[in-house]
Amino acid sequence: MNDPQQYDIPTILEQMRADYWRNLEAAEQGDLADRTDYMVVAFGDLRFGLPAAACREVLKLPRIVRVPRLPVHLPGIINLRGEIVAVTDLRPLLNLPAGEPSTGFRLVVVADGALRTALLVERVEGLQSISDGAVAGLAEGASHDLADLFRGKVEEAAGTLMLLDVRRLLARPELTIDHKGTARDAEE
Amino acid sequence: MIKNKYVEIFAREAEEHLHLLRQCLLAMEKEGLGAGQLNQLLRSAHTLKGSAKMVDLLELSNVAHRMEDLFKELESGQRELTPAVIDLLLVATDAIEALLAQASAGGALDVNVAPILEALQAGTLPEQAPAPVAAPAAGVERRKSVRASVERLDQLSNLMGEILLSRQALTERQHQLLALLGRMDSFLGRLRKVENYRLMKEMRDTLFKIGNDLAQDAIQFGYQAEEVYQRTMELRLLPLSTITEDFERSLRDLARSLGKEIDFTVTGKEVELDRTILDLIKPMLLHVLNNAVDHGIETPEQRRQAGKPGHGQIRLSAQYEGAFVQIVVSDDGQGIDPARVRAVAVKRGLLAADEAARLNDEAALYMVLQPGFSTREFITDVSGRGVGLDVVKSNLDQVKGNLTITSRIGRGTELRLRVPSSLALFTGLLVEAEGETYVIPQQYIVEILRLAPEEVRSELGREVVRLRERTIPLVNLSSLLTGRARGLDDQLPEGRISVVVLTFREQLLGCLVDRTIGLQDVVVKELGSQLKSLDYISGATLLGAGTPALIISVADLYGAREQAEGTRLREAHAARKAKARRGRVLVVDDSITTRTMEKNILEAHGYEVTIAVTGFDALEKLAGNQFDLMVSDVEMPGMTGFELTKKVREREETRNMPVIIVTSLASAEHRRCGMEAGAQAYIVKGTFDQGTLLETVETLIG
Repeated sequence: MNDPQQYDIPTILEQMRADYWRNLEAAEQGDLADRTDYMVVAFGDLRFGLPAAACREVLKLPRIVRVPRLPVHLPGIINLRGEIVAVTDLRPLLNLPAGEPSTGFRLVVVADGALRTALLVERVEGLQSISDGAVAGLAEGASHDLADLFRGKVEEAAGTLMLLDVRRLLARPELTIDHKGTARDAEE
Repeated sequence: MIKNKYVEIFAREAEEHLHLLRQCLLAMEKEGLGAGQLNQLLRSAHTLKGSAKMVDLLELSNVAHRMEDLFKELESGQRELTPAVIDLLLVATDAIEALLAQASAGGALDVNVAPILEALQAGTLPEQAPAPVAAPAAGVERRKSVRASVERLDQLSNLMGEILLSRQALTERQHQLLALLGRMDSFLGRLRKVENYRLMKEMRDTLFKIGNDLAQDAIQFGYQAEEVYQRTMELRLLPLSTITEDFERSLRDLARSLGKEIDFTVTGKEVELDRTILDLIKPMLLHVLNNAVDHGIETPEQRRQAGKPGHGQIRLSAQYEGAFVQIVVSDDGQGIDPARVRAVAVKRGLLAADEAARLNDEAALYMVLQPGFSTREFITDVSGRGVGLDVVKSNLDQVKGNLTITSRIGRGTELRLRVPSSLALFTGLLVEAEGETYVIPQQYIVEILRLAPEEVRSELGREVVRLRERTIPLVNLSSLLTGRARGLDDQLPEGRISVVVLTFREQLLGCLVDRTIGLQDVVVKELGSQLKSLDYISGATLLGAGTPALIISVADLYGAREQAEGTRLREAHAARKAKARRGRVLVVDDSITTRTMEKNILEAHGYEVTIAVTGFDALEKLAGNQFDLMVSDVEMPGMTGFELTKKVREREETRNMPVIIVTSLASAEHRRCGMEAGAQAYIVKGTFDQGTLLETVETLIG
């Protein structure tokens, strides 16, 4: 350390600069820029991709406290480090058969702006980087209402991966409960 | 100069403006005159001028005033922006800071601003720089308070709540340690070698000591955490005066515009409340006070005719009552006339004529809280726009407050608000309904009754209980919450029923719960972004293990009690008694199909059926309960039905209990075994139909 000659600072900096520019160029050439990370989750053999940017964390199934008079796709609330978060069961929304979640189920906490929910899923497979070019639109005439929830799909060896649009999902009116209309009053 | 109590608040505000002034001045020096900056400078100087005057810092106000003038001259182009002007303004800013320090120090500092005032007027700094103003030595003192956002305070209290939870985890570890010590003790007894014993004993004693120390530490940690938590909560408190200051002026103006004369007095300004509550009760109080001026207090002429002084009295008082604050607004005006309230309610279509007639005087007073109700014949600007006191009601529901109105015609009206002093923390009763734990705020609870089903009465088709001469209607919390009626079987718990007697606006309501768990201090949590508002639920909290529990909105329960289906406890009790008379049957079968079928047949005919899945299970159930008859299969794992029957015959208590064997073994040999074991009847499953079983059971126990 005493010998300043041991470190050739300018050379190191130059190298770092070169690396930086190389990375930037590589990104521009499309190696990285048009790929998106997805958190792959599944119900049975149906697989769905959640944009990783919207995913906050994955939890083992905690005790879900039921809340009276909520629709079936909102099975209750959990404690997330001192804050209350509602749980959303995607199965009823996607017209999938739904039963009591078993202990192997997971919660994926997703957020968009101020809205946050814990999505109940049967299985989390992990992160997967998907080239945007590989994303295909849904089949023509794909059922109207649901189609809105998807960015598209990817055909893979393991089957079709449906890519969910978390923002649109969270914006669905049935995901927000306002029995007393307080939010509406506040707007007026 | 006397140190004014608002100086501290002003100092905080002024500090921000001083910072802005300096920033903008320095920016202007670099970039020249900009409209945006000049506007900001004008605004800051103007605010400082006005606020300083309000807290009686006249010198400071004067300096700010001159600065404002100078800014105006710059704006209009009367004066040119030169570095000398900037210097002058910066010196003036320093002077204001010095004056502020002087005020904060209670006048102990000597500050001479006369030369600066002169210089500001002249627009230039004199040749020789003005005597340097006293350095803001008290600057340290001024920084004694800082601003913090409510959001950040919430985060802080959230985290503190979590720390309180970890305390419970520590206690749990201690129990585990104790259990381990117990196991070590029994292990010690088995050690033969003296040396081993001594060594192990030593380790055990050390562990015991660590355990004790841990217990001590946990207690200390708990106390400290609790203390920090309380202090964190106190950060949210502000005195009532922060909202009542504005009232005086606005009420006087209102009275004048209506040609009335009032004296408005406030007591208990120092009472501290959570700032969220203050924000919610401010419009509410203003509304009530406006109402008192507008509807309550008569004109001086009317008052004198009624033999009252021309000046109407309006009082606002606040005082602590434990963890609550009682706020009373009273006036000596004309009072609320129940008869008129009824008439208006009918006219406004809020009540049918017969409903109004049934409404007692007390209840009629509360009609003024209904939306769209105003007793005023014509609409006024002030409080007669039909938004009425329902503002009060909805805000009260939010703060979980309670309200009572008393009024005497010609004498005046008194409105009592009882609100928790802190929203974030309150004591609640934990109750169980539908398998989940709910919290009922303690302030609404009169008492908890444990009743035998016979004590439930029926009145006009609804079930009620009597409590000290009052008849209290009963509702079932589970059915209210879920909106589904409970089945007859689920109506009645085993043993006594638990009824939580609630009070809300002086009306009692008996709320049937599955179980009461106990009182606990709870921290209120928001329900999150997804659940903006829920019927019957006002928020959530976290219980000991960190599990969420929902907080019941008592106001909502009252709102729904009319529509809610009444309880059917009497019916359920009668049904259970009838069943008990028909007899209790133990059904033993390892096949779920058979035992369910048998259970259904027997239950449908009024028998009370208990199920056992093996012979051992059956013996266990027989030991703890009384049965009138047993129905058993033969081929079961572990113990056959014949063996079971023999054992039943050997037991004193069950020696005479009839036993029916139901089996697919049809041979005469098996029948003989059954009879030998002591069975009274033998039914072969092949020929099994409900008639045979029922007939046999009825023959045996009727």
